[in-house]
Amino acid sequence: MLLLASGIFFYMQSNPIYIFIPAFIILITWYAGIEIEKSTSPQKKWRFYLLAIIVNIGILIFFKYTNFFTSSAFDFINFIRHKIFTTTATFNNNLLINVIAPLGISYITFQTIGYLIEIKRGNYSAEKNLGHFATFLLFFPKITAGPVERAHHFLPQLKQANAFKYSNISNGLKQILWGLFKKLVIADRLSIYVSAVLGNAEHHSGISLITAVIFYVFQMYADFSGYTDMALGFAKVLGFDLMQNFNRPLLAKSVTEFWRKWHISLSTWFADYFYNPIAIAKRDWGTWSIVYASFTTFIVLGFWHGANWTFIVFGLLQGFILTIEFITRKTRKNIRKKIPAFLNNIAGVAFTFSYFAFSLIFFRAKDVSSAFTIIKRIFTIKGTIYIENPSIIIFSLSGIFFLILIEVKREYFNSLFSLYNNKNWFVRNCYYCILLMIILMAGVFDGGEFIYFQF
Amino acid sequence: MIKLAKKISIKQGYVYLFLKVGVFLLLAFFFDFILGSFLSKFYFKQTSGWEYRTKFSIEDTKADILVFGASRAQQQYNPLFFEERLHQTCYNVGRDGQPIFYYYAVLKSIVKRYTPKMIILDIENEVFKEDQSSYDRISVLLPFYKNHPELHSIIEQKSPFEKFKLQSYVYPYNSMLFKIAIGNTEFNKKRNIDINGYVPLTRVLDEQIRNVDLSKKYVIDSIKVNLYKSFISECLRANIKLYIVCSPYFFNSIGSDTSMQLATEIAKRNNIDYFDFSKDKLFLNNSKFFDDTVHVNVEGSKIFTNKLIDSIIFKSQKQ
Amino acid sequence: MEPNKILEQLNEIFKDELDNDGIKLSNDTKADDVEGWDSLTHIQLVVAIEKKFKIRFTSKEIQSWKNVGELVDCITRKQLS
Repeated sequence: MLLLASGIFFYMQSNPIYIFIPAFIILITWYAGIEIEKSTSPQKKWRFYLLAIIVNIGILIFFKYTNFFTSSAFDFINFIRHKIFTTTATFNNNLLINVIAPLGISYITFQTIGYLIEIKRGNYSAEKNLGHFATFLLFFPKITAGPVERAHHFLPQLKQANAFKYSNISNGLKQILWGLFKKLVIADRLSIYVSAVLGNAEHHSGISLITAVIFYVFQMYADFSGYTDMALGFAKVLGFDLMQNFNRPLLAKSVTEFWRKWHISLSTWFADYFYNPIAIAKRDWGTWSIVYASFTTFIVLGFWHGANWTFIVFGLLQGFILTIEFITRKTRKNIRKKIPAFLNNIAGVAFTFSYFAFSLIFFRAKDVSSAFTIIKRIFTIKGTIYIENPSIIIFSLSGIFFLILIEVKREYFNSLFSLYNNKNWFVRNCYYCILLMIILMAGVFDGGEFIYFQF
Repeated sequence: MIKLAKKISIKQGYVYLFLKVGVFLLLAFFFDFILGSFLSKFYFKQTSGWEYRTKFSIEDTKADILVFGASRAQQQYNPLFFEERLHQTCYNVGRDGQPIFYYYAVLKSIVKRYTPKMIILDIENEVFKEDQSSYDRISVLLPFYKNHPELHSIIEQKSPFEKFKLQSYVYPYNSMLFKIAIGNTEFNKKRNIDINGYVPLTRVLDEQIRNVDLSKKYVIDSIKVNLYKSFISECLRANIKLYIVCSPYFFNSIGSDTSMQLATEIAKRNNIDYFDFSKDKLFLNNSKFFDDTVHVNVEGSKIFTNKLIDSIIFKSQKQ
Repeated sequence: MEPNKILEQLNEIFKDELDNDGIKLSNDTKADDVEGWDSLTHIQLVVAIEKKFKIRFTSKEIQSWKNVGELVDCITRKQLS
């Protein structure tokens, strides 16, 4: 009950009225869940299921995509008018509405949709307790940035009495500390250089842009996984286990593997409820079923990130490489047999990283043409690397170095000596203190650090 | 002792948790103190760089004439001309990207130590614009919190939590580690020389003059306006001759900037001399005196500083 | 067909489809235990199994197996009916 109250309170911080939107979603989904389970006739089941899904997707589309659709439509009309009637007059989009998406609306609807599908498939039973169901969706550690939790993973934990346990609290706090470290020391630090360079791409040389793009990959990862660690840590302190969301994706040896390690709660959501059903339904097409499923999944996944063509290009790039990797998997395997394993790993990691970095250019750019500008400049504009403030670069590189060090250690040498989980209480705590000191010393708490432009 | 420890370890409850947290906090305070003292020592030992110049401005300078402002002070006013023509020592305390909080803080520390004879305050368009980054940038003053009570009221403007964050010995030096390290070497001296705080710009702008509409409305931050008023009254109280200056811009301004209007009005009300170079034809007709549209280069600085000194001499002779 | 026989034939299909001669399936084997058996290759495996045993699974069945044993049971049931 307290959890629900804190979730509602957290939600109402930004705009109190908006609490009615998740409240509505919760009520509809909760009711439909029970009715789907209860109904004996398939038609009735289907009707409730469809109704709830339409409400959920409808709300999501309304808040996230209305402006995108209307302005795209107007752009299209204007394009036609210019081409066919060669007029320069344009229709202005007067349907632009000022909608601010409610906090975490896509996370909430994804969780409700997953829940409805599971009940429809008959895999899990519907939640009868409205309070529990609401708590699942408004559990405050995961409202803003996920993970996209599964009802059948979370709800049983709610039923158990969750007494405060020392090990939970200490593990949770540790994870929060590490998340804070990634967010404040690494991600926010990198973002200073990244936004200075990518935000003014037209003034920068190719080498500066490449550096910024590479930094951006680490920034994204540190930022997102840092948030996730904090969310998981908070949940752990309260006695809940949320889904793991990142599994060292930057060390993936192929893009296919990458997507199994990056934003796992979302990618498995898409695998379970989108990709697999499509691929299975179309399995008689052979390889084409995979191509078709990959592309549709990643276009939708790209679009989910935001209503902009850049995200669709981002999705297309993922769909494309996944298809290529699928088709060439046997050839690549044969080649791999002839090369030493570590060379293989390095090449795989390097390729995956570069490809993801490349696709992130579209993810970051404000529109598709400015993404192409950046790419063009990377390959054509010579010049020295932009270092206005060496301190920011040194901090950034140290952050990246530290992140890679920890990730490689956890991936390949995990059984080796550990500071984070050292058996000696004193050593362990000194390590946490050092992390804390680095956060105080090198974390970015505000905009006090900046790169001042003079062009 | 062992018995006690055993008793506690058996009681895997709140007591155990609090004890561990307590010991952890002690350990953290210890680390914080050691590292913070270390950073502090080297911060105040710097011999070059921006942090050094801030430290020099707040704690060391004894110059008769001081120039206050942001980049448009730091990179445009050459103190050597003041020294040569007015026969008084001069230091440029301007700092790139810093808003009025910084000027006022430096002024307060200085008047606590000694009374300069003349102060020149450079103000620019949008100087009173409401802007979160202005508050964030107060961070450069954090190292002075412990030993400069006169700065408390300004530093605490940064955020309501600042007081608590500043309980840490390390936090004031946040983000400064490498700057401090570099400031303790000779590196900066080679990279950008400063002449009594003045940093010359060397590029030559080659571009047609543009029109810039300044009449756009924005939110005025009343805290900034009040600091500006306090800056003036502080100078009046200490009997320091204050000049307020708007240095040259390389664009034709359309309309006038809200902050600028307000600033000149307040100056006038207090009988402060105000010099406006933003519409000076000599600069508007010569892009070669500029590094970019809002900063003069070395050549421009020479002409600008001397023109300003001419005006100051002319004004003082008239009085 | 006997469950053991089915398992044997499955093993051949897996070796072939996943191009990995080291695969040794048992009833308890899960997708995570087999290198290369993921949601992408799962569909390929299903197609090959359907062809080999001349059966057709439903979408629900395809997504329900938690280990190889359940897959074998499912094939047995399909062949009986």
